[in-house]
Amino acid sequence: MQPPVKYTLRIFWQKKGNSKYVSHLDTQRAVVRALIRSGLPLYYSQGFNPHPKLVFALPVSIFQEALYDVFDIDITERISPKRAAEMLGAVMPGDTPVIGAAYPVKKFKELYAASYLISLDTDLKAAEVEKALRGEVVVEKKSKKKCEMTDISPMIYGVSAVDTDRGVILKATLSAAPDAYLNPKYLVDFLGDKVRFSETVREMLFDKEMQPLK
Amino acid sequence: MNTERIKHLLAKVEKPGRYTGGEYGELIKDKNTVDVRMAFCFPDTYEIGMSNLGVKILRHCLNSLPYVWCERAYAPWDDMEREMRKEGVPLYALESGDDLKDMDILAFTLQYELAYTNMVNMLDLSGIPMLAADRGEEYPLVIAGGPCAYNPEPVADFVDVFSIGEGEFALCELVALYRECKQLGKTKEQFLREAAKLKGMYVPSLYTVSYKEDGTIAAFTPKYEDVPAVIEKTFLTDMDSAPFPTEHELSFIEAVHDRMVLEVFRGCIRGCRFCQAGMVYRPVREKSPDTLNAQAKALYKSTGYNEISMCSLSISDYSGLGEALEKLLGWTEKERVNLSLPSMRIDSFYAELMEKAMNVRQSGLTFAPEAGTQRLRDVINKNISEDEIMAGCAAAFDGGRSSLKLYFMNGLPTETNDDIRGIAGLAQRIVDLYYSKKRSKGKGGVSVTISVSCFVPKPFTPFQWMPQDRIDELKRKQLLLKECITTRKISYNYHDSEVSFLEAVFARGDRRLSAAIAEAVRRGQRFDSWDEFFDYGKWMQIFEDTGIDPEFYANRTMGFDEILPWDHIDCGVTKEFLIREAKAAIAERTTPDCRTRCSACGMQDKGCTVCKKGGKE
Repeated sequence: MQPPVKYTLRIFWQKKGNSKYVSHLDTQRAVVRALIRSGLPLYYSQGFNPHPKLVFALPVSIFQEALYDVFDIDITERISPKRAAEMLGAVMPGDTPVIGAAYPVKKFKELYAASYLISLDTDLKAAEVEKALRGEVVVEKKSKKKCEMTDISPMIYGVSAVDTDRGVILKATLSAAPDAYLNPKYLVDFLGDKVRFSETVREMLFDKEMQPLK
Repeated sequence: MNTERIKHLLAKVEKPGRYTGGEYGELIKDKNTVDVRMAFCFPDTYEIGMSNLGVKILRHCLNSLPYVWCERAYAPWDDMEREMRKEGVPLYALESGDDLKDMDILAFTLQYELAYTNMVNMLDLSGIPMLAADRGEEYPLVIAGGPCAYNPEPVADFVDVFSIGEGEFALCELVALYRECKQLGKTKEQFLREAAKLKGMYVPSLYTVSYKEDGTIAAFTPKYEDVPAVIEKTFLTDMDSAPFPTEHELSFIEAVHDRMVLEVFRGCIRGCRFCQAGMVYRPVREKSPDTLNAQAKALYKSTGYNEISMCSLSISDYSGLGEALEKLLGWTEKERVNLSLPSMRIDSFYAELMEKAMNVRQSGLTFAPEAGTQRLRDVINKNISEDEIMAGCAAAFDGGRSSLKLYFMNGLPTETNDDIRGIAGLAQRIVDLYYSKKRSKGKGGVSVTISVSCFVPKPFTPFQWMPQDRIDELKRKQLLLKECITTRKISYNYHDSEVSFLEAVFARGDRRLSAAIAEAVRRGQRFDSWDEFFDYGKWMQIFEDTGIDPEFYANRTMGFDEILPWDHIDCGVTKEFLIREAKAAIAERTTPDCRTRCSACGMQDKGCTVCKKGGKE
C-alpha cells in the first residue's frame, strides 16, 4: 500500500517565546498536527497504527528556548527543501517558526556540543560566575538509573560571563553528545541560591567539527 | 500574550503552557478597533475548557462581530492560583494578557453544578466583587449560560444576565445591545432593564422571591411591569445553516478531548425520565450528512487532528448516520483519520453498524442500560429490553470485542433491592453470553465493567419532583451490589454519594444557596468536582453556618403544585407534560419515542419536525 521509497528531510526551526512553556511531548504532538496540515507528502510508519515519522535532534527542556532546533521527517517525494520549509512554516504555531529545511548532511549521533545564553538574576559578578564554573563543578546529576554527585566540568567546553544591570549573562558551550548530554540547568543549580531566577536560550547545535549541525 | 510579568509564577507551576496563550489558531484582534472586550470564562481547568465545543461555537459567533473581541479564560489550578494571589496577579485573558476586570463582559459557561465555586472564585481572583449587587459601573458585566442556567437560581446573586437556551444569536443580540447602551452612556441598570426584554435573557436582580414558612416559594415576581414573568429559551431552527467554527485554536497542552468534534444533531427523541439534556435540548434538529462531511473536511484541513469524534445525544437515532459514515469513511481511511462514536444504545442498529463500518474506532464500547430490571427501565423510560441488550452484546462479541462498559444508576425513583441485584444479574448474563459463544473472536477472557452513578433529580425532567436517596441509603445500595457480584470478570465502580448529594442540592436549589456558595469560596472551596478538592465535611459546616438545610433541596419530594425555583424559565417542554411523565413513571408505563408517536411535550408547536403534531392528546 505504501510507496516503498522514503526520503528524510531535515527541518530547522525555533522554539521560543511562550512555546518554552510547552513540554517536549506536547510539542511533538503539535508538530505532528502541523505536518498533517502542511500537506507535505508524509511517509507513514507501516503498522497497525500508522503515524508520520518524526525525530528530534535534541529537544530542549521545558522553560528553555532554542534558536536553532532540528527535527527530521520522512517524506515520499524528494521535494525542494525551500518549498517544504514554506509549506510547513505556513502552519506552525507562531512561537515555533520554521527557519529552513535541507536534506541531512550529518547524522544526529554526530551532535557534539550546544551553546547557550543564560540570563542570571543574581548579585554575583560575572567574574565570580566564571571562576566558579571553570573549576570542579560537582552537582547532583540525574541519569536514567540513578542520581549521584558528579563532576560535570569535563562536559563544560567553555564559559564566559558579562555583567549587566540586572545580573549576569552567561555564555556556555556544553557537551551535547548523545551519550554525554549536559543540561544547562546544572550550571544554574551549581550556582545555588545566589541565582534568584534564570532564563536559558540554546543558540546553536554543533557537530564534531564545531560547525552548525546541518 | 506577553508573559513577562508572570514568568516567575510560571516557573513554579505544573503545565505552565495552560496560562500563556499563543496556541496555533489563536485569534488576536486589535483592541483599539473593537468596541466590546469580552472573555469567555470556563470555570474549570484549561484542558477541560479547551475541549468544550459549545464555547468554541459561541466564541466563533461573537468574534464574527467586527466590534467584539472575545478572548478566553480558565480556572487556574491551585498551584497557579496560590502564586497569583501571593504575587498580586489578577486573572487575565489568554490572548491579550489583559486583566479580566478591565473587560466589558465576562461570559461564564455553567456545564455542571460543581463548577459554581470555580466561577465565583474566578471573579474573586480577578479582583471583581462576587456579588452582582456589589459591582458598580467600573466592573465588567457578568453573564452566564449553559445547561446549568436552566436553573440559574443557586448562582443568581453572582450573575447579571443569564442566557437561557442556545446562545448563537441571542448572545450576539445581547452584546449588540450592550454596545449601543455603552455608546449612549447608559448605566448598567438601564442596560439590564433593556436586556430583560430580549428573548432568552434573564436578569435575576429584576425579580423578587418570597418564601412560605415551610421554606417553599410563595411567589416569584418581576419588579417592573415591562420585565417578563417567564423567560423563554432561545434555540436554532436549522442546523445546516447554524454557525460552526471550522477553525479554532489548538491546545498545545493535551486537552481532554484532543480531536475534531462534529456536532451531529441537537435534541433527543427518547425521553428518558431522568435526563435533563433529553428534555431541554428539544426539538430534534439534525445536520445533513453533506454538512457534516463538509465541516469534517474543513476541520481536518485547519487542525491536522487524526480523529473525528461525532457528538450528540443517542447517536444511533441520527437518521442520516449510515449516509454520513459512508461519506466520511470515503476519505478518512485514506487520510488515516479515525472516527469515533459516543456511547450508543444497544439495539439491532449496533450490529448493522459493526458490519457497515468495521473501521469506525470506538474508544471502548460503552452502553447505558441505566437500570438492572425491565420494571425499573420502564419507570425511567429507557425503552430497551434485555433481549435487545443481549443482541447488542452478542454483536459486539461477534465483532471481536471482549470488554465492555455498562452504565447504571443507583437510587432511581421506586428502586428496590431486586433492581440492584438485577444489575449484577444482567452483567453476569453478559459474561455467560460471552462464554456461550464458542466462536467468540476475542482473545483471553471477557471483561464487563459496571459503572454506577447516583441518581440526581434535575430540573425540567419528569423526575424533578422526586427525592434523591439519602447518602446512607445510597451507600447501602452500593454495598449490596458489591455483594451480588461473584466473578472477577465483572469490575464494579461507583460514584461518591456525597458528591452526588451536593450536586442534587445545587441542581434543585434556589437563590438562598448563593450565600452558601459565596461562603464556600471565602473558605477556599473550589474544584468541587475534583476528588482532591471535594470536602463533604466542610460543605456541611458551610450549610450549617449559612442556615441552609441541604436535605430540603436534595431529599425532599416536591409537590406538583409547588412553585419550583426554576418555574420562571420556559425550556419548551411543558410542566403538564413533565407531570404526565412523572405519573406514568410511577405507574411503570413507558412513553414511546417521538418518531413513533408524539407525546405533546410542548415542542410540537415550536418547530419540532419529528412528531406528527398533536399525536397523543
